[in-house]
Amino acid sequence: MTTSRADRTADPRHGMSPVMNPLIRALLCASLLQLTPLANAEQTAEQAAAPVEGATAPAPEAPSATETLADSAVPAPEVVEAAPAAPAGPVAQVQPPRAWGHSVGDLLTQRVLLAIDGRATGLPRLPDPGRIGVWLERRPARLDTDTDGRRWLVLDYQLINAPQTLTAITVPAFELRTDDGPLQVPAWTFSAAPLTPRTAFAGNGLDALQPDRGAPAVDTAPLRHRLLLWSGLTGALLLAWGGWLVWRNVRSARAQPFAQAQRTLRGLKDDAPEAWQALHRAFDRTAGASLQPASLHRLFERAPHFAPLRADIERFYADSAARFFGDGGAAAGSPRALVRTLARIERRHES
Amino acid sequence: MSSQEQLQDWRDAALRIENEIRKAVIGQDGIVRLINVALFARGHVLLEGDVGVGKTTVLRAFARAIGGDFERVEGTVDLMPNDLVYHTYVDADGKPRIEPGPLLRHGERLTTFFFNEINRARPQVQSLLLRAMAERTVSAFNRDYSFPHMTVFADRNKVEKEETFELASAARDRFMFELRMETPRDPSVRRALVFDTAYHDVDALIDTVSPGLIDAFQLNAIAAHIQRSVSASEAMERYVMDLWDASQNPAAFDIRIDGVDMKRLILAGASPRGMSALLRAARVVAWLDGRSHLQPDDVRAILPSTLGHRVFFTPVYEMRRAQIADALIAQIIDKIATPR
Repeated sequence: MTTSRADRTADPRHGMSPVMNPLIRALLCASLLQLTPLANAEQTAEQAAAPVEGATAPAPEAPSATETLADSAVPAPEVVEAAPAAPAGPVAQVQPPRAWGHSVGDLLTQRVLLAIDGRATGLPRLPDPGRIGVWLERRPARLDTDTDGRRWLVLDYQLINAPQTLTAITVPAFELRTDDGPLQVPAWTFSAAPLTPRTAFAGNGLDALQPDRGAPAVDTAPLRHRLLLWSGLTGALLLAWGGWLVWRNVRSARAQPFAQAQRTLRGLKDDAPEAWQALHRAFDRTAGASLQPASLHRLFERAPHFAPLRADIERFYADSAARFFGDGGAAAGSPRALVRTLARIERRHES
Repeated sequence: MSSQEQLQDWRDAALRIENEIRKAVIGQDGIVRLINVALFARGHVLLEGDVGVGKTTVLRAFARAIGGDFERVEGTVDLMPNDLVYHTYVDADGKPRIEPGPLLRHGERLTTFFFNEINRARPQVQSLLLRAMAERTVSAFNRDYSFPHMTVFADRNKVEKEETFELASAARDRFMFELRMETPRDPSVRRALVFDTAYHDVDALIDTVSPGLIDAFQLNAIAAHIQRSVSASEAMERYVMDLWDASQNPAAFDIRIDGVDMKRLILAGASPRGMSALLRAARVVAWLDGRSHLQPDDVRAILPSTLGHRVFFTPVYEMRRAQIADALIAQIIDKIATPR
């Protein structure tokens, strides 16, 4: 925030335009040496032309004040901007706002009468809006006509930087190009103050920057309890459901015809008639009808996954017919081996 | 000749008969097989079917193949029992003459007696026929005439119901098989029946069947021999007993038919005569298959034709007999498990 004067003058954004700087400097020198009476004379003439409008050009002592005050270590009012110069050509009549008591964010409205030597003139191009130095931002200019029919150029400046100490800020002088030639708007200085001192009270926990105040803690225990309860219940429900699914699958797998037959056959020998009958019942259940060799096709229609074992199944039926209905010849087949294969195919098909 | 060889020869003959019949009758292999079974089981057959499906042709072909005498009677409302037994007329000398009727005319040589449209004949005629079927004898002229080699084939068309006398349950029970002869479904057979001129001339068709392939007068002896030679195992006996029980009390065997109260369905199950006919026929099936023992498939093959007309339903369901009987037999076959 505290920039030196040299920096500011080198910065082209300061003042009016880079072209104007040498001229202003020359004029400054001239006015300091000899031309002061002339400038004073012009000023007097201006004040005579508009006695009601209040203060106009900045005091010529401002630069020296700036020098002294800016370099002093004591926090004191600071004058930052200073570009007083003898205007070349007619100087505009300006209505500035009050020059003190401004702070960051304030809007300062400057009214410039568009008249040269008392004659109204036109302004083909309004000054551009934009940043003016570190402190100010010029808003889009507008034209206004007062009750007397005079036309004013209305310029709004907003103070966009917060001064750390009481500071004098200058709106630099600039030139308006009117229809009737250039019209000088002189520089204007005002003071701006910080909103608060840098440190109000040192120590004692009253630092300017206070730690964040902790938000009051809401009691979450009942919430957590409820969450725990419901998630527990949901978990238990899911577990029960999963368990039921597994149980049902296991049960239905055990209830499959050949799985059941396999369990029945576990304690039986291959030549036990019960073993053969159990296998017959499993075939019957699978086909949904009592099967005999002539109706075996119904088994393969209903359970085509057993078709690869067709030869084995037909042999079983032939052996069984010989055993139960034939001459009682010893049957060679092993129902236990067959039921194992069948149960395996059945399991694979079901899953 | 040993009895085994004799049985084998007869079996060949039986199969030859079937082949001969198939020359004249196409698309009815099941019917031909069952009539052949009935012939060797010495049972009578009731044929039921639409008009013109070839019932008469099948029977004439059989009569020609097995040899012996063939007689045919048309059932009509005014036919009386006496018309079967004797025939009265005045001869050339003006004297009244009495001659034996169609039933007696051939004496013991009668092998095939075909009663056409039996349901048009009066119950009196039917009962005469029943005795002839059951005992193969008829009393006439103060003595008994017997026709030991006779097989009765009756037919009944199911189209008309007017002026008909439905067969009593006792009458139906005497037929070993009640066969339903249907119009063939196979398109090639149907086309042949319509376009092949060979099937238009029935007499010429019958003539293609070789006559007298077997000695019809030995049928009784060989049938008895067949019955003795085919055995039934214990498991088979249990199966047949289950079938019988199921025909009497189907609900006990978890037999269900849609829209039928199974507890109220059966008025009377199969009779002992019916079951013996079933076994006789099943043994012939086994013999034709070249086996000396019965298998469940033998019984299943003939169950619909044997049991269908022997189970009697309560009046509520009797009107839907054809439909329910088929479903019942199919369920009995499906539900009775064997070996057990």
